[in-house]
Amino acid sequence: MSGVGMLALWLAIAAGLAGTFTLLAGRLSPKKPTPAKERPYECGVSEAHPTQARWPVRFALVAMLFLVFDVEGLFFYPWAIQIRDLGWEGLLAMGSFFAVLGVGWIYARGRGALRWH
Amino acid sequence: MSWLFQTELFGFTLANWLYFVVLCLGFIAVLLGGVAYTTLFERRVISLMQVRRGPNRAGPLGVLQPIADGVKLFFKEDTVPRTADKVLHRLAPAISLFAALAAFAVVPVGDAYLIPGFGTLQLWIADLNVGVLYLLGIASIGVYGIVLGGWSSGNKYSLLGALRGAAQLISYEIVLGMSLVGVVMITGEMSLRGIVQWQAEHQIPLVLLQPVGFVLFVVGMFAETNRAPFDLVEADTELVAGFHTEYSGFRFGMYMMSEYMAMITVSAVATSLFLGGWGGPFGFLPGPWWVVVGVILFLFLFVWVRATIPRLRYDQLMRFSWSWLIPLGLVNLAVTAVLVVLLDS
Repeated sequence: MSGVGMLALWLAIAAGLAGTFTLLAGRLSPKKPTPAKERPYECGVSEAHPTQARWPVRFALVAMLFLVFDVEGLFFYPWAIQIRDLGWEGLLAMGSFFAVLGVGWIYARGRGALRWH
Repeated sequence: MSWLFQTELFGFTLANWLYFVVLCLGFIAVLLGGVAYTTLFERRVISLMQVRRGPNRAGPLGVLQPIADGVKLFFKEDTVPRTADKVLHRLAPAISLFAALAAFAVVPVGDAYLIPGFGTLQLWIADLNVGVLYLLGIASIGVYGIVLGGWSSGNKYSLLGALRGAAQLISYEIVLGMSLVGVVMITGEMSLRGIVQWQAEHQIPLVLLQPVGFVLFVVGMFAETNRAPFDLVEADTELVAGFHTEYSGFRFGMYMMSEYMAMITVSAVATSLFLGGWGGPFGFLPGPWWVVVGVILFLFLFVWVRATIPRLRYDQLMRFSWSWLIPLGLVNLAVTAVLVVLLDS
């Protein structure tokens, strides 16, 4: 059987298992909610302000850096497969790409994007 | 019984289909059993290292402990806080578990073996020609389980754990991606089975050719599975239990299962990519046993490190990845590329 067909079968079984557990969880157990039990657990000091409104912007910065480096990193793969066929020319071409990535990294580092306060 | 062999569905006989389904279910059963006993293995080994006994009451040497734990989790109350987003809160552990299971699809445990009176038995699920990319992609899906779980709980500790988790996972995913490019260059293969075959053909485990890549991969795999010293996502001393603070009962169990399943998967991947996989270095053990030995060694490493090294501080963790590991990965990539082209011409 082709790899993709087998993969589809495996993913279907994995999803089925995860779904079954999700449906079963909580069905077999007692359910006795009390007001205290339903509050989020925050060591006594609870609900000063809602959590889903604001969060530190640094995380968004990391997300952007991730996009840059991970997506560009993926460009290495097609070349890595073909590296022997492409030879020195490919190496030169990827070298320039590499330099661009390196300059980006130095810039991000210089602007303090990689420092965590 | 002849109808089994005559009826066709999508170009395969029903007997073929039966074989595929049984194969998948067999893999799932072994994996879930492995997960259960990895928890026991970890608890026993870590208690030995801490000079205490660990769980030893349920059955001889505590062998029934994982079963007791599983049954207990199923019958524990499933508490959902009032502040939670009900749908996402239920969905998140399922995403984690699905991603952990899905990743194993491309890991080859062995070759195809001829079994008399049965036919051939293949010990891998899917031999994708983009196996390495598939692994990286699935690792990204796993991030959703953690982020959604922490965000939907409506708890500050969960949210912090989830945000940290997301930032950590994506940072170390780049490290993982960089560490594997070298392997792909040397072998010219992205299929895990192909890489194992290349090592068997050349009689050399890739760890000797890619020592830096191997170290990067091992560090990355600790971070990707949220294990100590990178378990900032859970960080019990500061964040209660991090992203799964508000999970109880079997939903908590699903998070635990996906963590241990991810440990087994990355151990198997490291064994396949760097230690020769079922190609085996010496040949006095049948192939699949080498994978089992490799996985157990890596699991021991996970436990050993957890018992030894204290947790990193969050800024150290991020700096370690962005300022050290990623540049190191890039340099390793460049050196490997030049060497491959140089030796080839």
